[in-house]
Amino acid sequence: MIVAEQKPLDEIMQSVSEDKNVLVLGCGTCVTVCFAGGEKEAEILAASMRMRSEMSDGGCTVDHLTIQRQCEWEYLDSAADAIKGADKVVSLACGIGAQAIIERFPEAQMVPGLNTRFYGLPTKQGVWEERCGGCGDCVLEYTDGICPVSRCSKSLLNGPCGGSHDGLCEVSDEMECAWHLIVERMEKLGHLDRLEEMHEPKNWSAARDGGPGKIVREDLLREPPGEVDEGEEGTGS
Amino acid sequence: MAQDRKSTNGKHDSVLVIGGGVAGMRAAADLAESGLKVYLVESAPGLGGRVSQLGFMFPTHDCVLCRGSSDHGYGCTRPSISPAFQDHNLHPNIELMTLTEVVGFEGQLGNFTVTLQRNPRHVDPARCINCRLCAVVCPVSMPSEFQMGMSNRKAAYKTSPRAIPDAYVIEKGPWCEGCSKCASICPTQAIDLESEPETVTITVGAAILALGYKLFDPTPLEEFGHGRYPNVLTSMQFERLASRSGPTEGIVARLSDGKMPERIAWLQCIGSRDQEHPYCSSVCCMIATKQAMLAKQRLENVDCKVFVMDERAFNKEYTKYYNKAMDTHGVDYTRCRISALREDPKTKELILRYPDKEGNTVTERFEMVVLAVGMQPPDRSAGLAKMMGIELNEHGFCETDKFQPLQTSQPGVYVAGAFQSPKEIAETVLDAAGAAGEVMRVFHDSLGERPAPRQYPFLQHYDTDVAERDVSGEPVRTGVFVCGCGPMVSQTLDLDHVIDKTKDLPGVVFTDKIDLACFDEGLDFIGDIIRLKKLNRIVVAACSPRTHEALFQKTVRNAGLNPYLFEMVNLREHCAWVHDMEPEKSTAKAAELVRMAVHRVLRLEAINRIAIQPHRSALVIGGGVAGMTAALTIADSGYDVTLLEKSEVLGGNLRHIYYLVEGLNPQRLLRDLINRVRGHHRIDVLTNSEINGVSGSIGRFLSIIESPTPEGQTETIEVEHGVIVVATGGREGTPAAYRHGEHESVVTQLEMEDWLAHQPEKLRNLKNVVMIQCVQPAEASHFYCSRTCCTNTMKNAIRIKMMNPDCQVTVLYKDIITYGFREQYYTEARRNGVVFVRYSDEDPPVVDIVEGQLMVEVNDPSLDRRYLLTPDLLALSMSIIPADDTSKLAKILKLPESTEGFFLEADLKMRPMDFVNEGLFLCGMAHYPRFLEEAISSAQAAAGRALTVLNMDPFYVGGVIADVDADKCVGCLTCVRTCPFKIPRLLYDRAGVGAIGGHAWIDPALCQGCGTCTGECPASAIQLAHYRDDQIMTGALGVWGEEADSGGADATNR
Repeated sequence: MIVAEQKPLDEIMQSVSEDKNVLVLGCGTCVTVCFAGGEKEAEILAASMRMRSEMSDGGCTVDHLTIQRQCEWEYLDSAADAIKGADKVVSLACGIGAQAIIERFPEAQMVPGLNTRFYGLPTKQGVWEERCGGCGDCVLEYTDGICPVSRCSKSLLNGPCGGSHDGLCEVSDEMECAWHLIVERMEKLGHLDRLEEMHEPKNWSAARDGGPGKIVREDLLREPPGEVDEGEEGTGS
Repeated sequence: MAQDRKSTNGKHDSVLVIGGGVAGMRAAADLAESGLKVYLVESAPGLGGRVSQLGFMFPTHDCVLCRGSSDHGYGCTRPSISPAFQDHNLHPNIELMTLTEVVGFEGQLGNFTVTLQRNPRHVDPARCINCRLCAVVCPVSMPSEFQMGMSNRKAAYKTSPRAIPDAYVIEKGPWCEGCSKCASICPTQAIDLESEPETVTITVGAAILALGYKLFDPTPLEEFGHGRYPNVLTSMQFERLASRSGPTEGIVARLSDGKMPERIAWLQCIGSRDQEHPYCSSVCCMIATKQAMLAKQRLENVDCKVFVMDERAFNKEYTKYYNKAMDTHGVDYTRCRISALREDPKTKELILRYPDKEGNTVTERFEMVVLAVGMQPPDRSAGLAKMMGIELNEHGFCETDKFQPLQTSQPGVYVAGAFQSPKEIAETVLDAAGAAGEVMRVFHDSLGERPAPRQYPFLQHYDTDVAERDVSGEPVRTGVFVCGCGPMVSQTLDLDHVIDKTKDLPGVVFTDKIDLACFDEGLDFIGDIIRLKKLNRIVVAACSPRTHEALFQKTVRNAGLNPYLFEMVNLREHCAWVHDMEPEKSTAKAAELVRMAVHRVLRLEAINRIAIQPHRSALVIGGGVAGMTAALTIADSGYDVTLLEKSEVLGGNLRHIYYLVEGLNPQRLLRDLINRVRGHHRIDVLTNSEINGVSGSIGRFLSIIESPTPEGQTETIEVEHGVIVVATGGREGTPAAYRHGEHESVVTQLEMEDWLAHQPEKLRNLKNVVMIQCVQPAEASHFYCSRTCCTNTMKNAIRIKMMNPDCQVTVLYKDIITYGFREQYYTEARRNGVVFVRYSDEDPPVVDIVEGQLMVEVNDPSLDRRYLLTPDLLALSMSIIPADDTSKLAKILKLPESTEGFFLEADLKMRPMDFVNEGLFLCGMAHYPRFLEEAISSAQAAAGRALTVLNMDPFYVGGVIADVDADKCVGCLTCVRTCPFKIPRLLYDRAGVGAIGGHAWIDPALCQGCGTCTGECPASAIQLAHYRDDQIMTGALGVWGEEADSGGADATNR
């Protein structure tokens, strides 16, 4: 899932300093699960903002609302009145949800309340770790299920660098070396020799290097392919 | 007494419990719960016994009684072992008699006439408001027994801060001059200095002796200087010193100069394992370990040394605890028995001489020495035993049969706890529950005749019930009662001002002052006004809800209102007492607290627990001695039992035990048990059968069992039952060292016992036998003490010496664990010439085979010599491991496992036979390795606890519990991960938010109402009944006088 964390309250207050009616819009999916922007976080942020406002000029009203997913038009529509009625919407969604708001309601003023960090998982209650870089060309097959793109600081594809020591990365003592993990696991499974296999260079154009991603699935389109009025040549199709 | 009644079978069915310590309380609570009448008699002014003096328990470091056996609720219910013992919520089946001695006892099972002498308390507990004035004016200053003489108390005193009964007592002994100042100052006229002892006679059907123990007094042992040297303490004195309710509030300081000690020594076995006391007191090793760890935590850079012969850390998690003391805390253990010490009169330091690891005698100074004093039979037990016709053993403790370990020599009289044999809290609690289980079995006709089901948050008999008024739809009509607590609140607070501020608040239709709300007059007044004014919300502003909430809830309920439409405000401890120097501000605070409560009750709703009809039958898993005993106890009590056994025969480990160290033949017990189980019309035995799945919860389980048909097929049976007893046992581990399997003369102790019993003639040719203790089996990942192997080794060593005295027997050991009276077999083995050689983990014995001959090489550290032994037979004491498939069963039953792989109970000390998952109980070696007699008493305990559930009809679940709003649940698993009881789970067949598959579900029968998930849920999808967000917020907003949105005077029940 997408893992995010809330921006500092000062930064959020700064971004709404001119506004009288503010809506804190929570999202009920990924960011709820990572304790960044669900119903409870939205309620707490709105209350904190009201207190801040009360302590200065007191001129700002802050409401909160949480919808199921900010990254879908239909769910956003359920909050249409609240969004339109606000001078500014503080989006407690990932960057996708935040942008969806202004795409759906071009007249709305939106500021992000979260910093979207990575795709990851909770390794224990209260700890989230990155697991995927969204590179578009998965190599987990060759690395026995451990992703070097997201978990190696340098995204190396051909073994550890000289900064690997005692299983840790030179960047931080709290960071495991992904290649150390890969080698350990391969040894345990008894096929370390697979590292000697040759692979073609990775297709980085599917990642950020290839520009903004887009996927069109013609089988899922509701109009015949010829009548699609945009993006006739979608990547990957 | 008049209320005694004979049951249908002509027996008196009430029970006398003598001793109000942890054992007596546990037994009384269980018996009361099963519907029997209990007289709980205690000679001290309050309950709690020795346990109430302990600050912390090993190995959890929990404070003692709060982890007790709270039946529903997570958190501290101190000092009660259960809500059954809250002062204003005493179980209606328990008649509590403190300051009472048994002076006469005659009759037989089913009809004992007991004469009791009730000594005067001089304070009426019903009128005592704990204002402390009597103690303030009392001129007497005398040593406090509770603080072990380390501080003083008055003659008017309270035994402990939260005593039961919760009242003062006046001790009119030689210290008191009868000045009557206490009686004059008492604001409620509760003191009567003239009252005299009374004698009462009761008739009971059975009695349980829970007399506890007496601490050994080391003062006569001049060599240790206790009583002369101020810095020599007993272990109980140290316990008080380190306790937060102790004389120094937990600061460990020297009595001579108040200085924090930098070097402390613990001397073990003072009054144990000596010529006069040839038994082990079983707990002192762990107490010293605990105290040394506490000292390390309290004092920086303190040096803790324990002088010990054998570290007896023999129960669950204790080995880990002992290792933690050494490895994490740096406690030093020296194998040495110190026989004397000297004091440096200048520094008051204590000088010890002992051999160090190299064998050199060293002299070391300590700033404090703690004597780990042993257990002795309690005072007056000899006279009581004579009067009751009970045999004592040669040490003065209660004699019992190995096969009926809780039964005294007098039928109908049972024993529990340290009076049977020195033991720790967990074993004591097992005994107590087991003795209660035995009494339930005997009086099975009367079970459930005095029902007090847990329908309400307080305890009450059914027959006092009145119909509940449905107030949903009525406008809120709140009554506020403000209690002056005699002078204790009214002299500080301006209650008229509080009432002025309250009477116009939303919903309030009635306000008044009461002088003493908790007295009968006050309670009657509240009840009358509720009926007269048709009130439907009640606020009582008085003292602590901790002590008085149940009392007022009961009053509210008996006036026809749901007890949850009530809120209490603490004007005494929270206002009048803490801010007595600032009466005006204190009054303002009181008014605001009342305003909060008035706003909160606007949103309160009736809560009713859900009645379920339990299946009145049990499933017992495991057909060994524990399983069979539990099945028989339950079946004899009139409930059907399904007894499941994985193998083809009943008996378990007992099939391979041919003699006990005491000389008895357990095969007699085995035959007897199997015959009784097979012949019992209420027991359905399924052999070769395994459980495949369980659904449901307490009271209503459904199990799927795979069982063979006579035709040789396997059929799947579904069994409904109300409780589950887990008795799957353990087994000897598989040897993986010392050349077992490579040489035919290397055997396990169990293999050796088999041929000692069946081919004793083989012994003739043996000249040299070596036994190695603490052999870690192939299955175990780390070492833990299996507690039975040392005694088992003594048994077989003595057997060999008895039959072939010329045979040399050498035992290689790390620590000899022969606790309790088993110590005498260690002594006997040594007297018979068995040689004991200690080895260490760093330098274990080495076994070799040279030309077919076994060679054992071992280093004796005490002589620094290496021995080369050439045994004809090498016997290995294997650790006992959990039964095969324990993990698999744990998953099916959703039960936790301990670090050793055994089942993990609800609480290591106070609830060793319960699981956190209610309705499941644990006994025998499935819990941890144990002796035959311990397996039997734990089985009786599990059965007794199961019977308290089976007797409940109906059974109540729910109440103040958490509920998931599926429409908001995003299935994030936070509640699943954070619940301390592992109760929430995802139901994948149901739809959560936005109709996505799967939402969290909390079983109302299991939820403990702690509120953890409610606080954590990131979607605010979980609400705790009675503490919903809107209820809390309305109360909080009430402080600032804000109207909560949509709340207000016209709010109605939804």
